[in-house]
Amino acid sequence: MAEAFLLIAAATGATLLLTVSAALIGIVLGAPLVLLAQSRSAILRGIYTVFVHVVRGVPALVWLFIAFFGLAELGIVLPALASAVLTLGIIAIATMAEIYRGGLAAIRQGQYEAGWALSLGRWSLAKDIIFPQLFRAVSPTTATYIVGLLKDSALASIIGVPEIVYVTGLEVQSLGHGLELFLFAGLIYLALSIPLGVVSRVIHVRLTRRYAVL
Amino acid sequence: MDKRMDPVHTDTRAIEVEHSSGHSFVQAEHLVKRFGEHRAIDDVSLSIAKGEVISLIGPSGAGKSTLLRLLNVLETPDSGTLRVGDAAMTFDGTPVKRARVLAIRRHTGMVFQSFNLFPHLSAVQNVALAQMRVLGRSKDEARTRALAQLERVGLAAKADAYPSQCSGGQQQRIGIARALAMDPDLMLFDEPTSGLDPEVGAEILAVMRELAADGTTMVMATHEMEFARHVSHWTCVMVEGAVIERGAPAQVFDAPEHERTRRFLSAVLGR
Amino acid sequence: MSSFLPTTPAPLSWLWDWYQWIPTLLPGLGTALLLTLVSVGVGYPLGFGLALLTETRSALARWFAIVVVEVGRGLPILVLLLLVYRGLPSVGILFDAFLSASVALVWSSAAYSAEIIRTGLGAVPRGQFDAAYALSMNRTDMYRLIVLPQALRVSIPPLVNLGITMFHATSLATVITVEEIMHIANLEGSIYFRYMSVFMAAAVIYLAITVPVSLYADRLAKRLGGVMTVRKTVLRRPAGSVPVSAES
Ligand SMILES: Nc1ncnc2c1ncn2[C@@H]1O[C@H](COP(=O)(O)OP(=O)(O)OP(=O)(O)O)[C@@H](O)[C@H]1O
Ligand SMILES: [Mg+2]
Repeated sequence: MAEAFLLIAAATGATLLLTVSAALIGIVLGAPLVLLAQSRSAILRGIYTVFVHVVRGVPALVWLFIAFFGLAELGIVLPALASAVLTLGIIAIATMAEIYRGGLAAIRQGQYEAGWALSLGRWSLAKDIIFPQLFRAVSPTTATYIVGLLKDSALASIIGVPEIVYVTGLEVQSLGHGLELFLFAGLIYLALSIPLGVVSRVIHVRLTRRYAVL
Repeated sequence: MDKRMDPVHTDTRAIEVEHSSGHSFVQAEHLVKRFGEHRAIDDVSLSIAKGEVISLIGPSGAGKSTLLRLLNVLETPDSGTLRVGDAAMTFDGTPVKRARVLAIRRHTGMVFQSFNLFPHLSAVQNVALAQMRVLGRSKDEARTRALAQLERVGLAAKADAYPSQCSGGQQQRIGIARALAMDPDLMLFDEPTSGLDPEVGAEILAVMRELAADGTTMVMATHEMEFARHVSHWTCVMVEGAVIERGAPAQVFDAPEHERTRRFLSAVLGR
Repeated sequence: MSSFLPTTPAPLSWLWDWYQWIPTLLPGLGTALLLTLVSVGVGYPLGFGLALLTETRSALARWFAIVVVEVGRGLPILVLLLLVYRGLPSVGILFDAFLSASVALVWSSAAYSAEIIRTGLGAVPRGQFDAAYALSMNRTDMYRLIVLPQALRVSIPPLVNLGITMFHATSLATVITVEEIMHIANLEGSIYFRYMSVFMAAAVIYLAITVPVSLYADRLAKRLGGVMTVRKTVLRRPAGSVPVSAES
């Protein structure tokens, strides 16, 4: 039993690896995607809308199976871990783009107008005025989403990535004690998400202590 | 009315434009701005000499804010011409040249009804930012000048405060300092006091009175009739996108020519 | 060069022949919708109860509600499913696959909806409660007539979105052998080795349900939000401004 707990705890590394990689992919690549949504071209905006609705309108499990079984059928054989990162990463891109879009929508038109009236260039307007406010506006939502990704990463167990849930399943199969072991796995998720929530709240309070976000 | 003394040339549909340019600093001719079918600005011409203070009055929705926003091209006119100092533009519905717009904006400063301060920057940073990014001033110089402008509006003590830590009146004074720090030749004020308590509004009006006394060229949309009357050199009455009457404040307020002006004044002045 | 490739369907055939699988998958959609209905129909009322419990004076009730909500939200739904299906039997509680999935999804949806409803209730200004008390309304009427209608305006769009999340989550029940869409898809895919085609069909089925509902949720949010915005603008009309109608 003690050994089972240790093995499960050790699988936390894989869970974190999945979570962090997907989060980074989303945070970085969501940014260029949201530019499509802001574009003046109706076609580019349409592409954005379709992409986001299709990616988020299908359960992650379907994408995971497509990435793992489907691509293999097309001759693109990805290891389970890579399939999981790819799947969670693409979903994260669409989700982060939506989060950025919400943050941009929350910035008042007057902020842009004040910048224009002061003759600020496009780059300075983006870097000095919009980005800092966007960053503060999206940081709580992003933190919540990363906790969501942490939980979504459990999906990877279904295609055999040795993360927490997969290892727990193996141990339960050989030892029984399903209740204790799955509860233990659940506690690890709680233990991981609670500090993330606290840290993000502290960061947010730091960032916004001196001013109301909007 | 003595036409020679009237540099505010604002006849609604009149085509004649006398003494164009000459000593006028701002020259706007036949400006039209549509929002869909609605003509928010309907053929307005206006010329302003250096050092003049113009007040725009009129009912809500008349187009005062829109006219101000045309003067620094925050809104692009559908047609007409605009010259501010040496920067001139002609509008005919084709896309405008960015460089031209920037040339006009470099001459103007704007103060907004809702302040529009940058919430993530302190007062002094709000005032310094554009000096560094647009005028290329060094950080130290921008800061020194920012502090001087804050001093001028009586807010030296609040230099390191963030907008959320300032009262509405203080925020608006920061907004004025921010615009002034760019050394504009023309200041545009869009109802700078209407979001504020009357008492606090008086602080702002005091600052503006000083600016006027210093010879700053200003155009302001305002509901403060007393202020329009006593501080501005010329008053324009706007109704439904047109300037229906213009002249010296004493004349507009005491002997309005237009029936519509009379109705407006009696509604706001309650007499 | 490709002479030794086995004769399989054209490599891109999944782009156009996916529709063949739709009839096979439809019974799975029925199961998925039924599970969604259960998790929403049972979960939301429970969530409302939990939301009220987290505000009560009894510390015991409050802590009970907080633990149920935090565990329901903090654990992956997959873990909840396995806990119920493979964990509870070790203490002698045996549910069949569908019932296990129902219990886990209801738990999850109750926990998330509790949080949404709590936020909605919190968004009702204090003054509304004061006004109701000042009018000597009783508590039931106050909640029914004053508080809930305003709280729902805030809560309904996220509750609709949570419904979509629960619908998606039913796909996880495949790991405990519930015969929903993905279970059938996986089976068929492995029999014919036509994964791409089958999963495309599955994706289309999910999209056909999700996209209309989420577009509706967006519209609803805009409309319900719009009501509030209009009110704010009216309140913010500058003191000195004269409405056009006053003098014309
Ligand atoms: N961006 C816009 N889109 C559509 N219509 C607009 C826009 N801006 C202004 N308008 C319309 O143009 C007209 C003039 O508006 P404007 O804000 O200039 O009036 P105003 O005289 O400043 O009124 P107030 O005293 O209320 O500030 C109004 O009918 C307004 O609804
Ligand atoms: Mg206005």
